[in-house]
Amino acid sequence: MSTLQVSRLGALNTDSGGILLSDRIQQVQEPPGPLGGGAGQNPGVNRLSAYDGVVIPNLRLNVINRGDPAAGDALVELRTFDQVHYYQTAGAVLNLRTSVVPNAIYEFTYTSSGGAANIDFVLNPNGASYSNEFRDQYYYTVGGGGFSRTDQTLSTIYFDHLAGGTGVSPMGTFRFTTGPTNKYYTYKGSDNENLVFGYGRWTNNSRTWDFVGQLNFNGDNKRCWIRRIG
Amino acid sequence: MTTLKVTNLQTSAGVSNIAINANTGEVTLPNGLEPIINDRSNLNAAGYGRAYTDELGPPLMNFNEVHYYETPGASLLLYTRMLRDAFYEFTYTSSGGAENTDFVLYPNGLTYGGQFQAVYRATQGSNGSFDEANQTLNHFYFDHQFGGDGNNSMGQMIMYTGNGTGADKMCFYFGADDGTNVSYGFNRWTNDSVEWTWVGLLTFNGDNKRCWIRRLG
Repeated sequence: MSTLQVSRLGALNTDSGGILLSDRIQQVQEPPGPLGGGAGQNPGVNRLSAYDGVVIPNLRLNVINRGDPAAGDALVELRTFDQVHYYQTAGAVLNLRTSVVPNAIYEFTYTSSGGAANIDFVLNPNGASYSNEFRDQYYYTVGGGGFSRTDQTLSTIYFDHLAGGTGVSPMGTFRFTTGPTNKYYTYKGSDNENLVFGYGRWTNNSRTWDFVGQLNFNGDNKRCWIRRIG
Repeated sequence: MTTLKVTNLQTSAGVSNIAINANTGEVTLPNGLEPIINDRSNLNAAGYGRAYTDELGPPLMNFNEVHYYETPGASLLLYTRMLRDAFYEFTYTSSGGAENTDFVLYPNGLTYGGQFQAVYRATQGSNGSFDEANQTLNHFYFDHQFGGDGNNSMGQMIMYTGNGTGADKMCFYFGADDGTNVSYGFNRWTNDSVEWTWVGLLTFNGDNKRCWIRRLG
């Protein structure tokens, strides 16, 4: 049994089950313990985050281990904003079999350790290539603090960390909007030698972005965390 | 004070596996529920100078909720109420319309003379070099390029609302467009006595703006 003292309860979204809480909610009837419950104290109040009288329910992140799916394995949708799809492989190729919906934003962060040097970030959306449909521009360091720029129209989403053959152990964040017409993305990545900022567009507005795609570039032991953010 | 004893919650569709942790009070939503997207696109927004009204509605009250805005035009009123001492983020896109993306946000839909210190670096022209800009203005501002081109922009802004007693309001921005431009910057709202009560008005070149706002912390 949990008892909540509620001075004002906001709306319960009857479709999603989401709860909009308003004002302060204090948990009571908590057993006395180190964190509260003694005489003269307000038991349990520190268990919830409170700012200006507003409490944010401490929803737990729900990390779903999708492993290392094959190219034809089932697609799975992210159904809440606090749900994460986690992928991992010992190799260099990682199929991100997370389905995406129109008019939304997704973001993933990846890491890679070991394997071949020269990090040229490649994402094949929907696991396919589309000739000359991706217009990418990016800015990358080339030794020292200076940046160079590259503009390319390719069949994949592509951001070179360095216009050369070095660099290992990358980490990067890729954020994209799914259209349904205009589809945009930004990229921030780095490795042990280089730094890159990128932006691009999938210029064929009639395409549908069905699932995230396939990561396929140098560097083994890829890990990837995907979430929906809008 | 009303006391509400809660042991079970369910939606109108009969979904009842919404857990309440009896020890911590945490509420856990089950898998399979849709994200909470509050479409705020249909507000009858007056734009610049809009005063705080009840139309702001509730703030973003949990991390599983997003406010979504869209307009076919260039100006977009982000009518999301914000709380003190909190972090928010929005991502926007824009397609078509006039060129030259100079990101502008009027917080609270207003200008405040000389209260915004911008520090940002933006690329310039055909090479990869970043140019420096340090400006004091009456609103949040990040130029994507110190010139007149660039369209189809996408950007991300992380906002801290300050605590009113020394922890300044500030933001961090990363944006780009197809004019071969990218901008990376920081901006501080220097007047601690002004509350950042709602996100504000986005108004700069580029039509068909879309914006997703969420609370980060």
